[in-house]
Amino acid sequence: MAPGNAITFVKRASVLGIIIVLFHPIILFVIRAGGLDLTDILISSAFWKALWFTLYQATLSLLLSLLIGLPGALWLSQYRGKLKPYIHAFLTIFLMLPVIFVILGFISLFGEESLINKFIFLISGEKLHILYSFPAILIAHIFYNVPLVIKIVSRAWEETGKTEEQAALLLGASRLKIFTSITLPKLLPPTIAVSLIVFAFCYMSFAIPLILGGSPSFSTLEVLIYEKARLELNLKFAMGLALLELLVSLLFFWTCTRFIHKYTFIPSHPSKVVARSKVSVSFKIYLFFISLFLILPFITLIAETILGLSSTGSILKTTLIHPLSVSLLVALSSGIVATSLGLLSSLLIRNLPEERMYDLIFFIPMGISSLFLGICYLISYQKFILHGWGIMVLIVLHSAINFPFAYRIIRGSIVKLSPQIWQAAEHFAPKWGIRLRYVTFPLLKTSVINAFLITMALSLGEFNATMMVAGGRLKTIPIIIYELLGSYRLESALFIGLVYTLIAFFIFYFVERRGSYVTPS
Amino acid sequence: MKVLKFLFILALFSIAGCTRRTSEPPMLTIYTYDSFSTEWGLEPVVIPPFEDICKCEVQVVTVGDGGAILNRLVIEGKETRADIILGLDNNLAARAFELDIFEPYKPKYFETVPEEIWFDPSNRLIPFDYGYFSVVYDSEKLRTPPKHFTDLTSAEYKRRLIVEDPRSSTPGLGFLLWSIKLLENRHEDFWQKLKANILTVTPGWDSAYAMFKKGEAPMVISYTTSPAYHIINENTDRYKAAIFPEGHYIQIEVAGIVKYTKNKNLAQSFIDYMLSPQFQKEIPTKNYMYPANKDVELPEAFKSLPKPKKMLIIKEDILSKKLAKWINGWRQAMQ
Repeated sequence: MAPGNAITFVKRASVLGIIIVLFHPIILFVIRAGGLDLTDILISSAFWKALWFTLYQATLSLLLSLLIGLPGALWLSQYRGKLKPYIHAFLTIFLMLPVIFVILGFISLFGEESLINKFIFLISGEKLHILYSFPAILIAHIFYNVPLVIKIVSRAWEETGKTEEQAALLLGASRLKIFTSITLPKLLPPTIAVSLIVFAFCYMSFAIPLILGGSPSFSTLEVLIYEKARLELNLKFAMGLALLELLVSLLFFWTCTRFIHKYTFIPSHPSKVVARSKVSVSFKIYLFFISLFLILPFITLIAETILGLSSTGSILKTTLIHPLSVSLLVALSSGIVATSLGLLSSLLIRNLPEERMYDLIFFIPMGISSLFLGICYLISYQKFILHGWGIMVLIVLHSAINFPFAYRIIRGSIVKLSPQIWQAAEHFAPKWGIRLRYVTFPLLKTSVINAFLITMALSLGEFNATMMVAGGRLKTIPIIIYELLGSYRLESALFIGLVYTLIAFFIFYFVERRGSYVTPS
Repeated sequence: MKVLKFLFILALFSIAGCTRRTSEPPMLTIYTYDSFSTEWGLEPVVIPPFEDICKCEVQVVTVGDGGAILNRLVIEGKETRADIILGLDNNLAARAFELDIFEPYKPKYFETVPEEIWFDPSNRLIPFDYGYFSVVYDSEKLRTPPKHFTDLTSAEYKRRLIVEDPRSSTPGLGFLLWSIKLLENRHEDFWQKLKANILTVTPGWDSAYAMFKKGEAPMVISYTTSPAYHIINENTDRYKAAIFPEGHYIQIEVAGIVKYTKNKNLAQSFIDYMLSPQFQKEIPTKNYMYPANKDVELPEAFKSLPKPKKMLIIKEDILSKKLAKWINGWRQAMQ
């Protein structure tokens, strides 16, 4: 075997190893369930209806989130002020917010009894029905996803310089031409990367469309899966639905990545943005409103939590400590595992002929119903869980769920780098370890830290799959919040949620600060 | 590569097999819903005393809710480790019987359980508590609560009721079945009219009740016993259940012995214990339901609650035949 071939083989084997370790429960589950008959599903009108609605709301939510988030990302990528780590830590919070809190936040802001509505009622005698309508679904999805768009895209844009634009300007190109042919293609890969994530979130969303939509006609495919699995015990039908759900999301993915490769422009060398464009008045107004929109639900919710504090009672002392340490331990470990594996696999697959196929494979877990992910891991690891290894299973499960996010974020950065950089690095630093230490890591540092923060935040908020594995003493804070809500204890749930979010905020802030201090040589 | 993959999986399984330890005291495994084993649930008060009595170890495995327990049993089949399933209800019973995994047992204290809630004549599923679905309202916000079931469609309640989705929630399903039991063929008309009064449909009871508690709507589908929580823990009788003379649909929570159990005697003694006063007296203040054992004295807050005069139930064989159709009808009526 030629040395080149041997290296390729080792790379492939390692990637395969990662796939097997993280995702074998999914493979096993499919094998175990046997052949699936999809004809029943394809002739069911409920399926087509749910599919159409799911795609419709997800696409619309995605487009609006991009429209509202991208200008913010542009601003943040150029912002160099002191508030930066706070802003980034705040934007990360949204990834871990339990759905019910977002809904309650919206209720206190726009609900039937909200100040806004009372005011409108005073002057017009009519209440404004903002919630429980289709736009309310979009508003909530925008609220959830705009921070993610701003965070991921601004970080990626920070790494993109303006050298090419300046050169083009000198050569006499028009501003429009420069924007469409240079700037836009440069900004596209991270935008597409975040689009895939936002789409996956909205596509899998089910409580928000149902509750804020106000009617079961706003049921997504996930609701249909629950109906078949839980109510009718028709696991085969439900699995078939999950499979179709996955296939459709893969189709979306495929379209997006084709777009990336067609329109991407790779700058010859990375440089930091130095020039800072002046912030216009209209942009300031935009920034004001977007901040208000993102911050207000927190303020109203915090106010109401403090008002309801008297009835939280003694439950907190005993309940909080253990699940909090479980949550933090699982989030930290799975964040590290998911990010390292994301980095490792995106480096391993670079330049393999089937490079793009892995993009598709690693997208699969993002398109699988979290209900099934949980079940898969439960079946494979049940014995471990029963023998007290539950926390390890939880770490592996969270790593598997969040790995695709880390992979996408880091891969988005790698795709953006010019091949010349790698060639130069290989030439000057033939040793792999040295290259990693002095070239690869510094180049990818921002996206690695970003991936770590995002996977950690996702793990802190993970609920659906965790519920399958958790039990007994093994409980995370989101599970405790759910249990409190399930036993009339709304005030305690809100209070614990608030404390948890605050703790997370400080962790994110700490990582952000540390991250920006370590400057590569 | 495929060979490699399978070898790896095989290795994983053998590791899993090796770690099985042999336990000295006999072990009873109970599959149940989440709220059983919370700090404020039944487990901390009923399981340790039983372990003392039986000189055994009890392993409580929590599996989401009743529906999730059934899913788990479908997946595990004969390989299930459960000796006892605790937390199914009358509406899930038909599906549970289809699985054919329960061992009949006529427990001690059998005679203390009211006849009308003992819905399985072959004693596979044994009731441990019950409650009535009802419209719970905030008396400070709603001056004229509904007096009859069909009053709910009245125009004065426009956007004032929160309901749960019958596809994912027990009270949601209970409310749908309640309408079917009372109105039979006319229930779809009822839902069409009710639609204007429904503020929103939530996937579960927890979010519905949270929204109700936040004052978003003055009525929610819950249990007649819900007000007891607020009386006991918040010292307020502000929240009340509307009692309808036509009757209320009932939820009967049950437990059963898995027929593949290797600890049959232990499992039977647990079922006996479950109906004993020691276990039953905890039910009102932990589950906020009525204990199945009628000889148990209720706390004051429960005694003050109005109890429906008439209980409604749909037999599980009819339920299993028609459920899919009813859900479809509901979905269409709500469009």
